Amino acid sequence: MLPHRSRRTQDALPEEQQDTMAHWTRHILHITFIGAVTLASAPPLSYADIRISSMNAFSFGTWTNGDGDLTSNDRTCIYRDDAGSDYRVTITDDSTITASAFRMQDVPNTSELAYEVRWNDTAADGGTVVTDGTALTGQSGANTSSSDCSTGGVTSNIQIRITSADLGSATAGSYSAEISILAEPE
Amino acid sequence: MKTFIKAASIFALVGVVALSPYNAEAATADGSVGTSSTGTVDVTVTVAENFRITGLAAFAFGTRNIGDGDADSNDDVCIFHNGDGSYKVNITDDSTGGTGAGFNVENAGDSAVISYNVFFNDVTGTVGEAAITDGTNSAAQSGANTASQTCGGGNSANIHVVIPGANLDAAAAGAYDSELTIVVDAD
Repeated sequence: MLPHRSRRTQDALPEEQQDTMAHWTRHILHITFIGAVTLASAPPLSYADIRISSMNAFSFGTWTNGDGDLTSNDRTCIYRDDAGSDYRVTITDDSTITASAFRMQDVPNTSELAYEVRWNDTAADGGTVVTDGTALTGQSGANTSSSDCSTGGVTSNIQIRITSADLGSATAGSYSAEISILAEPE
Repeated sequence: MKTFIKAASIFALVGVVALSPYNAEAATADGSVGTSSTGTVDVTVTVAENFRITGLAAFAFGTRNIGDGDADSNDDVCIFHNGDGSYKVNITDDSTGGTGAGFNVENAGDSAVISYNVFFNDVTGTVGEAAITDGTNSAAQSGANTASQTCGGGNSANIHVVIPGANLDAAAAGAYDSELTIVVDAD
């Protein structure tokens, strides 16, 4: 707690009180510095409401040797209820064998199959490669007029890609994963 | 007289593995409006049962003279199966008599043949190999590589071709060849 002082005594503080002031000033500067670092490393979250919708499953069917990579895109809707359009997404899946990466697993959860996730803040194929559990900040273009993008159109895209190299060395069977996409306003 | 046998690389595929229900519930869902919003998406794919044979090389016996004995050569190959490592092979050649007529190299005019023998082994080398009958499924084999379509640069099986010296000695002079086809599939 800062020592109470009047404006009158501020002009001529006793030496002891000047030391105390210097002490608190250093603390205040220190706290301010920490705050600045936090702001630089991650954009602050906004108090706006947000919604992600227009989600569709990725069903790749059956892959046979020689079929090549499997790639599919799904247009999605990001809505913000204010004038701002910036947001971040954090994408994870429910894999357990290698929980820290995007993996599909077979029914007994004994085999896994790697896949790649990309996010695009426009409604176009492709996007930026996403790391499991790491926020992709600085996204923009959220729809601000319709919570399901029925007005203004969809705003973004998720792409899933499974390489033929990974498919070709995978044990035969059915694989699945559930992806969660957390959207937060910035 | 030149004898030449080409081994054809074959991908064999056999049925798709019986599909089991996916382990993820149908959970694709939109998020709701809030200070944050989470949507969920299911991703599913089925990898069919696949086999592959690689590492094939031609058997080129060159010129043989009477008294040279058997023309004998073998080739270590890679068998891949993305399952339990079991499989069977069915080997045929393109000789005029067709499947089941035996393995024969033929001259350019297909007017003369020399019969030969084919053996298969489900480990590298020839120890423990079994004779193959043209067009007949082998017994169940094991030990296919289950992790790498090319066995990580190694091999897991062997094909062995022998043209008996007696057959060569009795053959008319000329160049003979044949193309072997090896089909690998589920046992």
